[in-house]
Amino acid sequence: MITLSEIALALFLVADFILAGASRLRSAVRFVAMQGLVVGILPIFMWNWAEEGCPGARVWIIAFVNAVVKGVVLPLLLMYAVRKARTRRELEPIVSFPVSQIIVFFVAIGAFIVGRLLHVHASSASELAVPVALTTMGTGLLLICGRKKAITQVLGFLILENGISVFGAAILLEYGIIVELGILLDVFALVFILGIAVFQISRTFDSTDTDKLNHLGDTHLMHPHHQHDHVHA
Amino acid sequence: MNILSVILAVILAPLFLGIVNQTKAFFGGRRGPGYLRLYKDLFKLVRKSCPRPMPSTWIFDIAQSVSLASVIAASIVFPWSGVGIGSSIVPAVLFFYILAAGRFFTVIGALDAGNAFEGMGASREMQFSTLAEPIVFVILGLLVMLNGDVSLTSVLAGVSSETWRESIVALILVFGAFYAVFLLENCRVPFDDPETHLELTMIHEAMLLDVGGVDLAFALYGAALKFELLAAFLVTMFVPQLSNPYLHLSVIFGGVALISILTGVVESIMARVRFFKTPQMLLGALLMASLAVFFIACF
Repeated sequence: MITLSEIALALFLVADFILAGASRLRSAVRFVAMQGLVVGILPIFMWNWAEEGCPGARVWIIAFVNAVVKGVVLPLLLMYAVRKARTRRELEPIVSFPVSQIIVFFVAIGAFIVGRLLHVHASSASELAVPVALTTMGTGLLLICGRKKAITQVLGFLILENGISVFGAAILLEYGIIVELGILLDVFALVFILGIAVFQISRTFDSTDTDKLNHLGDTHLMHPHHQHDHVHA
Repeated sequence: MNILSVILAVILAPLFLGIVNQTKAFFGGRRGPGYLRLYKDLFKLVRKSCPRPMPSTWIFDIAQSVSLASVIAASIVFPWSGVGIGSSIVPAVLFFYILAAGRFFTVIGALDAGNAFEGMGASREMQFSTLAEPIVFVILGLLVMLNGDVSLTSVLAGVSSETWRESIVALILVFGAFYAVFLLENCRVPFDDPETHLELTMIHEAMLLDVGGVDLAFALYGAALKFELLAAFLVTMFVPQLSNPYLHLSVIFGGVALISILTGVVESIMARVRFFKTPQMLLGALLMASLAVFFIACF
């Protein structure tokens, strides 16, 4: 099962690259959903089948809940938000897409070097898990900082959280799973609120560009439809 | 055995494009044109004469023949059944340059036709293949690093089971990157659409607008053979060398058939990307290949 978990982690890494360069929100949501499914299943792949036998019901239930929430429920919610907000793609990101991919490349190299120095892999199931987790967190942070649309920033947060989950799955904490479930609840609430918020923002104003939300001071409150010179979706 | 396997490869080439089209037809809910469609088309075309545009010169006449000849030359040196004819002395780089020579002749033939659309197609073809070249070189470098020699046989000696176990992630990344190059070189979706009928969106097809008759048959057949050849390259990269040449040959053709099905699936579920997005996708493939080199070099 080690090999299966490594294949899953490789898919994770490829998904990071694609997400760093994805401009269409719907395909980005699909890749986040794929990551979420993999994160859910990962603990089962990483389980030491040869020595510990079949994992108990607790592991199965938590894998199932994780996969369903991160791979199905949250992506459906985000798809709904994308549809309602009528934002199809990220137009003018702060960090352009090719540059983001190059940054993720260097983050990955750095993560592999750091992952080796940390010696975490002595206790982890797979040598790859920690570097992939760090790369995924980097990608998530990049999406939060380098994109303008609110939905992409929510996606970045989800990716960051996926990275944390991989980290948790990698070092196989005893009570990690319970902590995981707590985080999952937080993320669920946050994405739920942000999904509704994006919908409401887009209904009130004609764009979900966070740059423009920054301009909403007292002086602008009189003119919520204040026009800016650059194009928006 | 070597000559036999080359002949078999040359005969089977149009079948794999048939598999791609049947897969697409299956996803589209159509009955499809049949696995042997390209054979029938080629048979129809070779009985026609070659029309020739007014301003063209002898370059236009020889272009398609030379480019088909280069693909056939590349498939002769390719080690179909483990060892090929002279593949132990041919460097892998030469293999790709033989293919590039074929493309060069297609391009100057297109420029010679004096048609603005063909010039545009030629320019795009060269631009994208230039961007694909670094990926090919990074992957070749990786294979030389793994197998220790630059000749085609040892580059394609296959990945040992030890490497499979230790660096499967790197291999997945290499597969993804080379598959992107494969799709680009064969003008498939998402880089180019072989079925497009709008000249403005064509890349490879735009270069063949004025080609007809036997020359068109050469061009179509050359494309089919190149598809098979690069798919076989991709398969041979990963499959360890088998001692029985017949088994090796059938494994390679099975792998090529699987890649054809995969290509049909990719074309069915993906839209073609915009031109401006193509360099970015190739950059992603290059970064993945470089990451694979980093993994194998440092771990």
